[in-house]
Amino acid sequence: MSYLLQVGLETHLELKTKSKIFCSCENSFSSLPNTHCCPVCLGHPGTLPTLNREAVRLAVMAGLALNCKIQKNSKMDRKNYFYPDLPKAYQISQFDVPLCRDGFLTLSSGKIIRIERIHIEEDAGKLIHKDGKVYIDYNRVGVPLIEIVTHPDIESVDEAREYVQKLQRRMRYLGISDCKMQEGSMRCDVNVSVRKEPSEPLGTRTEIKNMNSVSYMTRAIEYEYKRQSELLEKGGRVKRETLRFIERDGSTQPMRSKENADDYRFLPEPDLLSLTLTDDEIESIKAKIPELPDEKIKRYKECFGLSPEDSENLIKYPAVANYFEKAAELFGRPKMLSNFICGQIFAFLKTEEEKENFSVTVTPENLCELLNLLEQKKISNALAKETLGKMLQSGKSCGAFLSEKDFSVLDENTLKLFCREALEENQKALADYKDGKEKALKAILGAVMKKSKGKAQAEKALKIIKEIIG
Amino acid sequence: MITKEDVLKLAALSKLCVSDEEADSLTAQLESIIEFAREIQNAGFETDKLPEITHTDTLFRKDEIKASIPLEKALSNAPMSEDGFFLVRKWSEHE
Repeated sequence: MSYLLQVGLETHLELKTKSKIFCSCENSFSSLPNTHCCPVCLGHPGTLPTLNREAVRLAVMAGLALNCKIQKNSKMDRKNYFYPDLPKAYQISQFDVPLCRDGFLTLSSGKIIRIERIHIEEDAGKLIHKDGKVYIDYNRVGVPLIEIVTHPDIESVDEAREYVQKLQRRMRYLGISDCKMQEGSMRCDVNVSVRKEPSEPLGTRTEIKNMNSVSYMTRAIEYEYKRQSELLEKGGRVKRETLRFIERDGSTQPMRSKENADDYRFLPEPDLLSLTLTDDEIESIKAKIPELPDEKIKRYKECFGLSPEDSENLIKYPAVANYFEKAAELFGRPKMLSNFICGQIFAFLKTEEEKENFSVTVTPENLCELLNLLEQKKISNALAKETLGKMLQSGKSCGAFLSEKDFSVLDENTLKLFCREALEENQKALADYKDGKEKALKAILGAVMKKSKGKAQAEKALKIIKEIIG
Repeated sequence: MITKEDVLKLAALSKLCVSDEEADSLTAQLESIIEFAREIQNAGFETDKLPEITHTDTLFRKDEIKASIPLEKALSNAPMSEDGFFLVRKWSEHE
């Protein structure tokens, strides 16, 4: 008996503000431990948090980009738990009145993954377990986070993967977060349950914490699906618990029991007033949302005639899309542009990070200058590729590598000579043409191209051939 | 009404060791504290006449970086520290 998979995702994103969410310490990754700390984020008694406006603004942007309703009145709450990554022994988060709710993200199949809520909260510190001791770095305490919570609408590993990738891309376009899973600026908690029939209530779920790569996440879901199905098949019962993913063998292991749902003893944060936004504020944030990936794919199809596959490659990173769009203003063959960007230039950039930054030395202007030569048939495709390679290496424009002698413009007399020879050697085609078969000229033109090693301009050659035939 | 089970659960959540005897005594103490607070219900307020506290503007902070405190100062209250890190002993329950 096969079981149906049901997955809900909670995605944490670190927001790219300058300072932390409740104090003015710097929000930056990887500096010396405990150097971005102050009495507020270290939880000293008598200190008061103050809310960073920019963190709220970025969170509202995320909400709008995910079709959420923005709540004009929300509030902050204390989530109590006892663990040394939080010096206050509570995290300031949002419990029953989150900033955003009821959004959705659409997958390529058209399926909608409903987003239950997005709330803002502070990140916790980093613990390093070593030699039986635990070292604590509180630099990350107070880094602003949003948590994006879906309904359990995801029904396969592929849907989970696509959701995370689409979400990541969308948030990158907003520029609100680095969204780097390997560096922890994007992390997923995965809730997995199984049931036999869609009509049955949802099965008991387990939660796998802190997935920091898409491939680990998919492996963890596969493992949990199998484990829960086999357990139920044997007449067992799935226990509601929090699990960790063991990278070594792809299994999951219990972390702590979550039988008491009210463990966190949430209470309204007495140190902060309610969080109020006006319509004007929300509208002005909305006005700053850039064109998002799905809209771009649609526009690339309509304006440039690009296939969804080409567009997907171009829009994966905002910097690449920007580059393409600048070049497309200068050069009228978007498909050729796309081929050179996703072919030659991507091949030159070895890592995903290099592609993401796309800091190539060849400017869109330089690229278009080269492609214009190709377009005008002054150079061959092979020479264009070779030259682009040299340009990428050196940062010089194509003028540094190509000169007049490389430009394959045939002089008129040579072209005429080739045409005459071609006609003489293709008597049958000539006869066919005279019989009214227009297509027969192609064979003659082909012969001219062969003789000129591709340097002849087709239109010009055709004109001469017709003149000779009379 | 505070029960002994409530006290034991709170103790567990707060990672406090509470003996059986202490639990009995704490139950009685907590109950008397709550009983004392209940007095307020007899104070005779008409709740609808209490001044309403409304905040139309959230007090936001501008996104500006200000200097953090020096590392030595950050660590000065820590019972243990090493190499710039706060240090705690490994505890039995892994999580």
